Amino acid sequence: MTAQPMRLSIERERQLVRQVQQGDRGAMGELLGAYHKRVYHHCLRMLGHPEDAADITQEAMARAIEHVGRFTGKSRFSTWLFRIVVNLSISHLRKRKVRRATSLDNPISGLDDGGAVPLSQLMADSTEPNPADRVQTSEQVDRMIRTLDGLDENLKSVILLRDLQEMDYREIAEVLDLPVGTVKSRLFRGRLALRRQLSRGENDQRHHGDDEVAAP
Amino acid sequence: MTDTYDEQLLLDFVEGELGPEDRARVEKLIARDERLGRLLEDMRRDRDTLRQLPEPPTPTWLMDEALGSLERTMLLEPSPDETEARVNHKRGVLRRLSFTAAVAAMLLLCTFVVFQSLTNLAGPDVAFHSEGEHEDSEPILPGKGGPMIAKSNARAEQAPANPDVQSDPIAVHADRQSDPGTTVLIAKGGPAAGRQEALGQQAEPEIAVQQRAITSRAGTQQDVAQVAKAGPSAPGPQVHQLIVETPEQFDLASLVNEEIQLSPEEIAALEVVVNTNDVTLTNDQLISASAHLPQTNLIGPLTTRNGQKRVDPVDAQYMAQVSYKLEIPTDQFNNWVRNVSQVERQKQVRAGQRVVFQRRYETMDLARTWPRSKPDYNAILTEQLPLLRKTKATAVEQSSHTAVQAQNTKAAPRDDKKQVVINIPVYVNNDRVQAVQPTANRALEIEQTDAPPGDAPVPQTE
Repeated sequence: MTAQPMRLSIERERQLVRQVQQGDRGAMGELLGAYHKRVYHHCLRMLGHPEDAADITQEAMARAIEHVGRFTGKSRFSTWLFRIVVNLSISHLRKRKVRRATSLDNPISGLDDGGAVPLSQLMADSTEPNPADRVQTSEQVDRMIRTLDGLDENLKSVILLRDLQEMDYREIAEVLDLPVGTVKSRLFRGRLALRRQLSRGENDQRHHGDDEVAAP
Repeated sequence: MTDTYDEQLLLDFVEGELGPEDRARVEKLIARDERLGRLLEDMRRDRDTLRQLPEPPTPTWLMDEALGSLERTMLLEPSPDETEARVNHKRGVLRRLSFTAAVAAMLLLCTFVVFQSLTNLAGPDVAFHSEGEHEDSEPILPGKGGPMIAKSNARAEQAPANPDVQSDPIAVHADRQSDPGTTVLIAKGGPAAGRQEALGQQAEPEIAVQQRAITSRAGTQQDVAQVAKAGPSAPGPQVHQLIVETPEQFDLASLVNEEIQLSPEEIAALEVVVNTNDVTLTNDQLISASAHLPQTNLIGPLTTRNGQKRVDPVDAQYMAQVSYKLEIPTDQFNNWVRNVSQVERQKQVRAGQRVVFQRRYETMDLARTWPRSKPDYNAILTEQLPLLRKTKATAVEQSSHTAVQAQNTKAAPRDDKKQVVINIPVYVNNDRVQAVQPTANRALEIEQTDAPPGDAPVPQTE
């Protein structure tokens, strides 16, 4: 079910970056070809809308082509590229948030809390998992995608970079220009928020099923 | 039950990055509260779900657009190699342009130098002299010490630049525009010398004959005898011919095809001398020729200051040379020369220095033309009138020539060895007196018995 996008090895990426720095724009095409699907996937999960994702992907690649001369090669090309993508995506979400109403009733931010997180509510919502839920279905995927769509952009960025792009904390910190500790904190809070939304959905679905069973 | 947990520890447990010790700590917490265990397990499952989200189909136009943008960028922005190549190309072009400019400048310089050399070698038969010192100095009678214009066909010899030349009674003036084959010799002398000659006195040996080798056009050298101090050791009377070629060789017609640009100052200092046998006709023709040049102010020898032109037939009978003062615009000079040459045809037209003054023995009408403001040359020359009239009468009776022999009869008992006899036609106009170059059949002869000084060159003996 999962189709991992083609990934360049670090050595190959460095080689292509050197060629780009020497003026070989063909190497730039190869780099973009290797990353454009990942970029689009990230934008799609970040923005939740295919057209917006395509626009941001196109804009991100155009900016990468335009400003590749500024890339010094101190970091990985993917890090530099996703920094552009995340910044564009967050900016796009902030602009879109002004225009649309919040679809979720209680979005979890968690950013204003302290270092520790009260888990009592979350633990109270957690129920014994249904064995059927342990099998990943398309319904779960859809629910995950919908839940992601309602998550705060800062938390969502960290989660997507971590789970979709499989970046380590240092790379995420470079992309978001944040300390590693902040990245970890946002990642945990994001997972908690995601879990809360998913639990609410699961409970609502469970209650809806119970009502249907009791109705006859 | 409300409890507080370390999120860093729980995150690492979810991420599966805990060590065995921390994992044991978390497992203890999970064992104490199984809801925490379920929550962490849900978070792990969510993480796995996210990591296994299916890759959406990517629009194909995305990469096409990206490649198109990349191609446009590649077309618009040259690569570093191309940039370097362009810079090198520009440098090469600049180098070539600089080299070409340098070569062109060298060629122009060489052309200018060659042109200047050729111009100097084939210069016109015209000698231009500034009015200079003679103009403002007192009138000087021709003769040993008087101003004298002589002409030779020899190649011009530049006067030495040393100050001694200025003190030399004979100065060779060869203007840069002069014909190399033309040498104009102006005998310098103080007023006293001219006065002595005019008084018929024996001139002091201020003038001697100096011999200078002047290269002719053909490259040969000719000795031109010049008036210089005569040395006491001269063996006897000698005759030195100042004119070694006929004046026809100085025809200004040769200048027609040459573009001569004269400054207004040079024009002002220009005098045109026309040798003719019929001065009346020549005068009329010259006036007619100049009429085509409205801006030309032609002043004939018998022309009054107000521009009224007339010719005295009596004077014309004896005038073989006519001096004209001209005010010709620079750009019309060549046209004027062309017109005059067409009028005169075989006649000589010579442009030379404005005369200092002229003296005309033939007319004897010195009272009419002599300037009042000048020194009393009238009185001086009046003493010569009987002799001059006698000489003229003899010349008319013989009708052989128009040369007049002027002899200093009033000189003190003189030494025959120092006697100088000058046969030269001298004309007088209303303001200046000049010794005019004689025509070919009136070669200027100087008889003298004095030998040149010891330090002077050996005089040319005819």
